[in-house]
Amino acid sequence: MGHQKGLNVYWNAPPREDDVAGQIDFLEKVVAKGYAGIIITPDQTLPLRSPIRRIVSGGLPVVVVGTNLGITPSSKLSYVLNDDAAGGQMAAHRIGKILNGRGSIAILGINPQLTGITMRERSFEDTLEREYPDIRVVARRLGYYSVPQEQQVAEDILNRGEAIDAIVALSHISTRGAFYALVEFDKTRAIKLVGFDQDLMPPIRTGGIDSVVMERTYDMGRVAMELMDGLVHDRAVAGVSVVPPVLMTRENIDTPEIRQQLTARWWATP
Amino acid sequence: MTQWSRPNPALVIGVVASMAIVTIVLSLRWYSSQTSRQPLYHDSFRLEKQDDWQPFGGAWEIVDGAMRNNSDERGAKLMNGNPNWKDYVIEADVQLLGQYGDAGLIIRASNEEEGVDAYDGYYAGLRDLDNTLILGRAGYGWVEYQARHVVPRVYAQKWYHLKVLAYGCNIVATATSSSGEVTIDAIQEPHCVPSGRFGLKSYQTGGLWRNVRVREATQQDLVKVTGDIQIPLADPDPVVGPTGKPRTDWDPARSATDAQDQYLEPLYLDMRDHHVDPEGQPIANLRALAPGKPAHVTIQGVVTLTFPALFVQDSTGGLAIQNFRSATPPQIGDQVEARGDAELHDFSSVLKDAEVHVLWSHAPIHSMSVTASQAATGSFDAQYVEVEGHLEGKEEGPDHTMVLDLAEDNQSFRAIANGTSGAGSFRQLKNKSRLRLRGICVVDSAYTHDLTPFVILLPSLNDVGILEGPPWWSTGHIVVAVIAFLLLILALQTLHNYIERSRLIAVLEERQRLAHEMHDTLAQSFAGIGFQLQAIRDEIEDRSAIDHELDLASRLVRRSHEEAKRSIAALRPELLESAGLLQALEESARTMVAGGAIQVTTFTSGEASNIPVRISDTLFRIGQEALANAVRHAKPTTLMISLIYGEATLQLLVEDNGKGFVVDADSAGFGIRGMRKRADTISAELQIRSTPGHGTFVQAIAPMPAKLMRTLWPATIWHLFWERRFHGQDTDKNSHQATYR
Repeated sequence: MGHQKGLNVYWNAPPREDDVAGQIDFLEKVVAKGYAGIIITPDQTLPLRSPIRRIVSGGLPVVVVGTNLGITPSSKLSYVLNDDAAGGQMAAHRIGKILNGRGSIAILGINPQLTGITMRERSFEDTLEREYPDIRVVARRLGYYSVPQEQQVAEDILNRGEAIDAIVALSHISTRGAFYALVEFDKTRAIKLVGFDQDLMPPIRTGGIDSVVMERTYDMGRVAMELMDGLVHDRAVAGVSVVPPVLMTRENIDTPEIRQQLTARWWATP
Repeated sequence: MTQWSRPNPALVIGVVASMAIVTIVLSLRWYSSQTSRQPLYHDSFRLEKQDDWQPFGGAWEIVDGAMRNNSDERGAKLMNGNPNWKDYVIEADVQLLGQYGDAGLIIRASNEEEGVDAYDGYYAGLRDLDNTLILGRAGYGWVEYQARHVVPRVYAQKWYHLKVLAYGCNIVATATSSSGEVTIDAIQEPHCVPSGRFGLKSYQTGGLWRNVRVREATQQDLVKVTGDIQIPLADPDPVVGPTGKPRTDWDPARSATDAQDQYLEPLYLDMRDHHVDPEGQPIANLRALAPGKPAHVTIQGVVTLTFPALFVQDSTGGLAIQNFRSATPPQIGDQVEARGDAELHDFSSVLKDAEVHVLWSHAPIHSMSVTASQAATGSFDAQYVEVEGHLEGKEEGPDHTMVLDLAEDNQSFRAIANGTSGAGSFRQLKNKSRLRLRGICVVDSAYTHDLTPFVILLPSLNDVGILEGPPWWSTGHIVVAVIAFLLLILALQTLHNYIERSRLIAVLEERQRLAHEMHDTLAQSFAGIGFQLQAIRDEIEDRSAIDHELDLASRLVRRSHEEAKRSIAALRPELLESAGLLQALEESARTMVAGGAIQVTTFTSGEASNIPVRISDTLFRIGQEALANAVRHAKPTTLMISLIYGEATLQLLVEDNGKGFVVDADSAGFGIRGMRKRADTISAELQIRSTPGHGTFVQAIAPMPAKLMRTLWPATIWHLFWERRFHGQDTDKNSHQATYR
């Protein structure tokens, strides 16, 4: 997309996923190199707020993907967000459907540091309470940046002996951790797992994971590049572009819509 | 007058620049031909030599004859070789240290930076998660072209022989297992990267490399590796990683259990042994142990350093582990459980004879930002910290370590990094730079030698960030700045002289042209008018009535003719150019006194040197004026003209024995003011001394510019300052002398 628009793309990320300081260093380096604009997917919300605000006030166009930093969109700042509220509703409807409107669930991966995760959880619980009042949330757990820790959290819940019919995991790390725990306890059939963000595909085919609310990352990237093209050419663009997620299940995993989001040909024309 | 002929500066600069460009181009071509001809490398890891490896991320060290990356970063690279290398083979024994990652070799790389896939080039590696040999192209992003199953499979902590060949636009990778099975990836890319360096790379796991060899590749090498295989065009579409769409070998007819076994085996591997001992203690609790009584304990934590000792940290503190055993070599970022004998030390505990069990990898490590003063208290002993300081010095330490001496908050401390790689980064660190270091803070005297309160053990030199370079006002920089300033002044002075000389030459040429014009027109006309008047006189018989008018007209014409000739003589500089200053003045004097009884003598002393045009012309005019004044007003019998060449000056003296005059402000007529003005233009000092009845003495002392530049700057600047400061205040009227400048 960038090449089609005549934009040369420099792509990079810190070698450690949790290295927020490294991401800020990259930002400063990109600014110093004189690039025309920045598209960024923040590792965390708050630490990136000041650097992005400073860059935008300096006049450099920025498109923020995936997280609302709380900075008001402007002629130099635009957001591409996953519709986390819609994602929460999708998960709630899926849970309601597979539990037939009755049962007990646990929520893993709650992360107040990421507004998108918080939005998912609130939307999920609101929808559940409103439309499936007989489904109870019996456990809520904070999320971590490490799969083993998430696995341990899930195993602690399974060890409590309390009956749980399903687990909703709000991030790809907590989804993977919960899946490992279910495999470890041999409960992939007994306890349904609804996860967020595409990561483990094979367990969806085998039924180990019931479904995943998937961000349409390919579309988000395309929209981000279109917004950047508009910003660098001083055209008016939407301040916030929301891309709805899609629920990936065993039934639709091989449909063109899903495959397009998962393609490895990220540089190709859709 | 003879002038020193200076070469044209523009011409000199042009010639020098052309020669420099030609030299640089030839050198580059020679270097390119030398370096691109035959890529050749064999590692010296067994000799513990680091060669010229350049790290981009990772924590690299040489262990048992192999290069090891202890970090599980996404895309740590170690680069070597020449960007001009084209067709070559790189091969090495490669081992993955952990699960869920890949390790391999880079070929034809350029534009490397720290970061994920931050280079342009090709990479082939072994990935244990989906048990494949992968081959693809990085260009600040990753395009995976092929991922083939490795037979029997990819195991961590087992050696594989990996070979990557680039010939033309064919990129081929082979992996040979210890049992001899060979897996081949091969692609042909129409718009391939034509040349570049080689490197070692791992992704989300540590790795080991040994026997790294690079040699030139030929067509025969390509055929030998690929055999009858038709090398396919690079097409990323069929490639599926563990997170992509189904692989082409997916068999939907398989049972769910089989499918799970097929795909989830790596996941099971990843999940194994995650159970921990519930009796594990927080590390901070070990500080409550009884002194001198080791206790057998279990702790869990994240590995923060592996060299020179294993350091582990949990949310309560950190500790060092000595003499440990582990089935899997722990890497930085591994969550481990360790059981051993804990000993209480001054500021933290040490675990000895420990069994270390890796629970999982990729645990986040967060450094705590502390000041040097805080670190010096010992409260952060054995913990992963971030501290800032100014670099005071650096040196190579024992066991291939690199040592940095730093200071901050009135505290001095040291940082020690494993020097196996990163010599280039080490050399780039400049004293007085402000650095940010991330590493393990230790206060043990085994590291500090009781010289500093604490030492920072760095996982690698990549953990040193330069916040600010050294201040510009260092002694060396000030000296350079002063020299540059002086050179600039010199250049400006030279340029000014050049422009001034050009302007003067233009003036002289214009004067000469005017003289020629006057000679050819005005003087000739006067001569013609005189001739015509004489003719009139000869032809008229009764001239009594007009004789007086004719005589008057003839005298006027003759006088005007003489004036014109004097003006022409004054304007023409040929004599000055051809005969020199003294002789020109002598000639001028003899012309003035022609037919009279005045005796003209000349005198010169000192070593005659080239006189700049500006000075010789000005002194000539001053001398002419002095001579003219003497001839017109003083009625002398002798005229003495002297020219004295000094070390830094040139003196002109015109002396007569005429009637003299009282030198005061009123006597400074137009002629004297003119001389003074001319003297000022060349910063010359003009003195006129005269006493009634005892002649007049005119002296002009001009500084010589070349010597002024070389040796007399300070004196001249002081002299000028003094002259300006007290200009006009040192006239002593009673002595009948005056100094005019």
